[in-house]
Amino acid sequence: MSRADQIRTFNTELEALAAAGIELDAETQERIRAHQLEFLAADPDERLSLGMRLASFVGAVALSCAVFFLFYRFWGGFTVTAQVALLVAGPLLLVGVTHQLHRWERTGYFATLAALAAFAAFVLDLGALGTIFNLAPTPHAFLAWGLFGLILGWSYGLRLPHFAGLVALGLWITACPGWLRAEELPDLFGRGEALSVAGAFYLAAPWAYTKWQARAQAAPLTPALPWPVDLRIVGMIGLFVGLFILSVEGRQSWLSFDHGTIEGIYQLIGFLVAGGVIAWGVRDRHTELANGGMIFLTALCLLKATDWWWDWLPHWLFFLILAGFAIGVMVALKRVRTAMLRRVA
Amino acid sequence: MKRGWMVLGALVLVASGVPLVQVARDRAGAPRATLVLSHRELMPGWNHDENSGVTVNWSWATVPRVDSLTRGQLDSLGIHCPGSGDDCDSRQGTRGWIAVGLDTVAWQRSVDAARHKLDSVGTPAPGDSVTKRHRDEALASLSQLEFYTSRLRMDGVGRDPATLAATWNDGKHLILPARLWTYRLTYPRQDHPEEVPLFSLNATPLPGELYVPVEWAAAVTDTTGRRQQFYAVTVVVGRGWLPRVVEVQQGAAPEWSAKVP
Repeated sequence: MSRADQIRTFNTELEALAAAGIELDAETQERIRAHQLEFLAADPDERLSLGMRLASFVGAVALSCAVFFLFYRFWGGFTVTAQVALLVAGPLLLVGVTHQLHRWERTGYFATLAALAAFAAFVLDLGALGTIFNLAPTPHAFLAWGLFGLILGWSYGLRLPHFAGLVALGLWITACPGWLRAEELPDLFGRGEALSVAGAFYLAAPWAYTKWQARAQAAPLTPALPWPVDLRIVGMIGLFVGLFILSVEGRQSWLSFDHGTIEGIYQLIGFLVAGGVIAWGVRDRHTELANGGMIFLTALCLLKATDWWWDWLPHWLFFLILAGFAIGVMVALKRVRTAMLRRVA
Repeated sequence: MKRGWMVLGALVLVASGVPLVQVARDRAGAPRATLVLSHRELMPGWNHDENSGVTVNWSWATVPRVDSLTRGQLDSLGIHCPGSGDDCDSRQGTRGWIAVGLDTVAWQRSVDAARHKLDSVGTPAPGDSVTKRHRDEALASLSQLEFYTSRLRMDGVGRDPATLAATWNDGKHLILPARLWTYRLTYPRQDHPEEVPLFSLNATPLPGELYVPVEWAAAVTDTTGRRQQFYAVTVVVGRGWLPRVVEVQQGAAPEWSAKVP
């Protein structure tokens, strides 16, 4: 939550308290208001942050597309040497631009634009080199792209390239076991187990890092993990998509059992994992985990309900049972919420 | 990270350097094999305003597949079919290599037959619509063979390129990296419980298209976008088993092609 958002939430809470008859004295209120105005005046971008972030995101995606299309529009007219020089120079130049923009404009909106264009230029670099020299596709390019995105994000405090780097690195981790088994692209991305393990690794990384910091008493020396919420989101999506694939398509598994048995095992694991992720999200106040877990649990329930009842139940009864299940989930969540509020109070 | 831009620059140089070193090593020394292919075997890839690069795609006389392999034959190629599913419980393609060559004899026989048919029809007299139709059909058949019917076929497959190169060391084959995948063709039936399962091995060369450098791009697709061009592409495989186009020669269209309806 940005500082401006915190101020807005704080003011809303003050109004609610005032409506309930609990009020701060006039002098304190005035001091708070003056401090807030001073802060917002010193940082006018905060008031435009949502619009700026949106414009920055759209601009970054558009600029990345422009880099791609510009190269492909004209590359056929260049010699191989010129193509290689352009491809390597592109990301280097755009890293330089990102560096300068970050120095000139600290909020990072313009730097994000250049950084994502640099990321796109690096993707284009390795992809086009593969085409020019007729190289067989390799998943290891994702390692380079992932590291590039992460370092770009860490160096300049830019979340978007960091997110892109996380996705690319996750795809590389997913592809590694298949690559070691001599599987080829694009098939090696389809293995549910590899995707689930990569997702679980991401999901556990922020927790493990915090534990390690606490155990090593290294907090003052080591930097905090940037945007752990992004790690959790990417990890959770990978874990759930992997489990879902295995729940419906047993043949995607590395296990050599009967496909039906494999699907059953992974459906059970899916229910347990979804429940665990929801509980974790509720306990540690990670909204993204609680919501994501609930969506996955609902998808699994829908899958199983369709599997078991669609053929032999009248459709009205099928949907009535689903509605009953949804109401049950709502009641359960309401109880959880009440329990949490009591605990906070 | 204070020196982030330096790390990023180094990463770009190292990551770009890896394929460039691979290419430099591939091109150091004499190529392993050279083969001249025609526009029929390497057809122009999709080329349009938004993508000015020119590529040529492999086109096959017969689908690159080996049928009716026993499990022992499959194992001897270093390719395994675990499980009992029709897709060998894998659905995953594996890395491998293929030896490709030209079946010019069969193709030439078809061309000669088509030419003979065209010659036998003769020139239609004015108003002879039946002969004219037969002549048009013969011309279209010859045109199809000359323009589109490939001579390319897969002659060998395996997991080791050196072994394949030693086997197909006649100067008429290329060893290409490929994606391989297997299918089970037969299952024991009630009346043949002891039947030996048979497998099919399929292959796709990697990459599926070859880049044509700007020096020869015009010979493949001219500026008008005309795609029916006669050309010969010289493809070599270097020391590191990378295929590449080293020359494209534009050929003259045969005299009959002007008469194609």
